[in-house]
Amino acid sequence: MRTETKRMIKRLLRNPSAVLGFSLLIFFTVIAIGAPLICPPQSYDPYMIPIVTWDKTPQPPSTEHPFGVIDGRDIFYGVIWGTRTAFKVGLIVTLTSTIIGLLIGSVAGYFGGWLDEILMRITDVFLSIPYILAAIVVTAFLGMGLNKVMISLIMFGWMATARLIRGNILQVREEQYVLAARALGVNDYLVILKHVLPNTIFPVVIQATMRIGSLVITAAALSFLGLGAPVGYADWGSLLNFARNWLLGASGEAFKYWYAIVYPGVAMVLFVLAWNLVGDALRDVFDPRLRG
Amino acid sequence: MKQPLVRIERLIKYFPIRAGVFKRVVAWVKAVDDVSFDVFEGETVGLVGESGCGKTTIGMTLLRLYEPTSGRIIVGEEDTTYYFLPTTKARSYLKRSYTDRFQQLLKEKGSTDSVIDSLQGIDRRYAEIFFGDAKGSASKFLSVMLSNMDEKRKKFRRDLQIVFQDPYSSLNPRLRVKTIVGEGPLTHRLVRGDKEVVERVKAVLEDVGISGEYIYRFPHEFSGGQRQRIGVARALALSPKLIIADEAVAALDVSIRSQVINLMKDLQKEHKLTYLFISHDLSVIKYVSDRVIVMYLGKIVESAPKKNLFDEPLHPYTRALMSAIPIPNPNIKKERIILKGDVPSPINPPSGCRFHTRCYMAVEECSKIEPQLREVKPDHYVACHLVK
Ligand SMILES: Nc1ncnc2c1ncn2[C@@H]1O[C@H](COP(=O)(O)OP(=O)(O)OP(=O)(O)O)[C@@H](O)[C@H]1O
Ligand code: SF4
Ligand SMILES: [Mg+2]
Repeated sequence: MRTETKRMIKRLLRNPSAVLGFSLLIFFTVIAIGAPLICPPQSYDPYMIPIVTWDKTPQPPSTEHPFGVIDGRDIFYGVIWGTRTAFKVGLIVTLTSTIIGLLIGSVAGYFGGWLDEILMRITDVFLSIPYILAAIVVTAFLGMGLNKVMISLIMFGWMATARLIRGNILQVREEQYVLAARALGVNDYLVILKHVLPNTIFPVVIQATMRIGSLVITAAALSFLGLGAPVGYADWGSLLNFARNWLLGASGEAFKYWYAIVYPGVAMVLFVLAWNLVGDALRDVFDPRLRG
Repeated sequence: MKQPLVRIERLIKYFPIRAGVFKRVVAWVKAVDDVSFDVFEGETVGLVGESGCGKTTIGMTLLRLYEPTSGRIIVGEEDTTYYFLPTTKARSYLKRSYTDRFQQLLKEKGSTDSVIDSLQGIDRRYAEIFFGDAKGSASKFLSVMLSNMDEKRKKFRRDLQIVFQDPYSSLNPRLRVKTIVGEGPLTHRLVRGDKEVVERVKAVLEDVGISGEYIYRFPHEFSGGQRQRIGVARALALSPKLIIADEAVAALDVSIRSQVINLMKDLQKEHKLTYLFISHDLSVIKYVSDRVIVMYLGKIVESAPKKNLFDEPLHPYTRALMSAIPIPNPNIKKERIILKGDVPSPINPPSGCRFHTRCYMAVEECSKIEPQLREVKPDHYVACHLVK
């Protein structure tokens, strides 16, 4: 197994986009962990961006505020601590909704029959509601705040996983290698563990990885609409929300306030990119047909 | 009398068709409907018939990958029908098939000896246990029969193996050949530790003509023919007595097909294997079989030693099938019998003789009375009203 792992790592290192993805991810992780060192918190809640001036007009980057200031708040601080928020939202929402989807999908796929029928009809109902709209309505109903956003994203984020795992289980259950394993006398749990799950779970892991990135965008969209984090919370979407009023720049200078958009925007794009590249890399590693 | 390795008695397998929100059973697919046959040690029995006639279902039910709807599956000296049932079902099967019957017979015949004398084969053996060791107590008999189930199941799995049709779906794409072929021996503890697994897998692979160096490869790194050999190796690794080969060469190119068939024939001699060879292709069946069973819509219509069957097919369906095989010698004139229509649905099979809707010889009684499988010549069984 150790040679196996070594081989996998070697393979990953040969793939430039995988290297880029993992590097970005490591970079973001370091920033998220090191946030208190990079930007020491100045109030009891480190996630609140400190107010550095009462002047609401954006101020360009300076040595003191390297990414500039918007709405009186330090953009650099917001971007750094926003990394933590992005991880928090992405990981918690993805993990929870994936687990819910896994449970529902595997119960449906494994037991079949009327249970499958009922669970899949419920899934259909959830799927028929547009995601963003549902999230907006639920968040509005639960009340504002990051936690409420996360709950609504979880509530409407499990269906794809449920469908994927159910379809895979149904398909794999009929595969001749599963029948062959049963004919060999391998017990049912081992058959599931060794033959069914490995051929069903990896697509789910890959799908979940890719979703982490896009979730951050959805959460940002909700923040952008003013439904997410409270004002002043270190969150890339909220930073962009501040920038909304300054999007057009000043008269005659369209890009005057570029820093208000570019820094949080780039952070977000790179974060999404990182997860997508990592998802792609995992797909390569997990699919033995692509192994050299 | 020679004792069969496997005896299938009145096997029935119906699949439920469910519909609606509550998944109620609305009909049954009568995939296998009252089929009996024996397979003797060392022979190759060919099972042939058009697509959908129930060949695969017989194989799968024999291996208990499907549970039979009814019937008995005897392997060697044991009734294995209850082996894979949950305990309560197994108990009621054993009561129904043996203890209740023996007690009833005892009432009729008066003495245990006369009951035993009236029975033969496995029934006699079990009656001896019932009236002997179990002293006529149903619960004692059941506890004897239900003891060591794990071992019994393991032995069953070791003795009966299968090779599947599809060289792609039959090997787990995620596992290396070593794991695929080694899984059986490891499960049954025929080997211990990595070194022994490697040794065993290498030996079996060489047996099927694949170099032992390839044990760390993945299935996709092999050609179709090689993958099929690996499928044979997986079965062979348990040193089984019977191998069911379900269309084992159907997916292969013609040139590779004969290589794999010849390999299987060689292995048969070397390892004293018995084959149940399932195929829709009569020329393959003719090449490999000692005895041939012809099926139509879930029933056996004819069975005979190969030579008798091919020299003198008696059932109209068999004759139609045979008229469709090309003969290499153009001087032999052959009448081609063309069957009209499609195979009817096994959900509502035709009344009487199931073949009557397509039979070119059918008479009136054919649609009313079901012909029984009768021995019309030594060892040659036919189910047709017109064959006397
Ligand atoms: N799991 C199942 N559920 C429902 N019906 C089934 C199932 N398996 C087989 N059948 C039906 O039972 C009948 C017999 O199928 P089976 O696969 O045994 O035929 P076969 O002789 O092996 O055919 P082929 O040559 O196509 O492999 C068919 O009508 C098939 O549709
Ligand atoms: S019984 Fe009648 S229908 Fe059936 S095969 Fe014989 S002749 Fe044909
Ligand atoms: Mg078949």
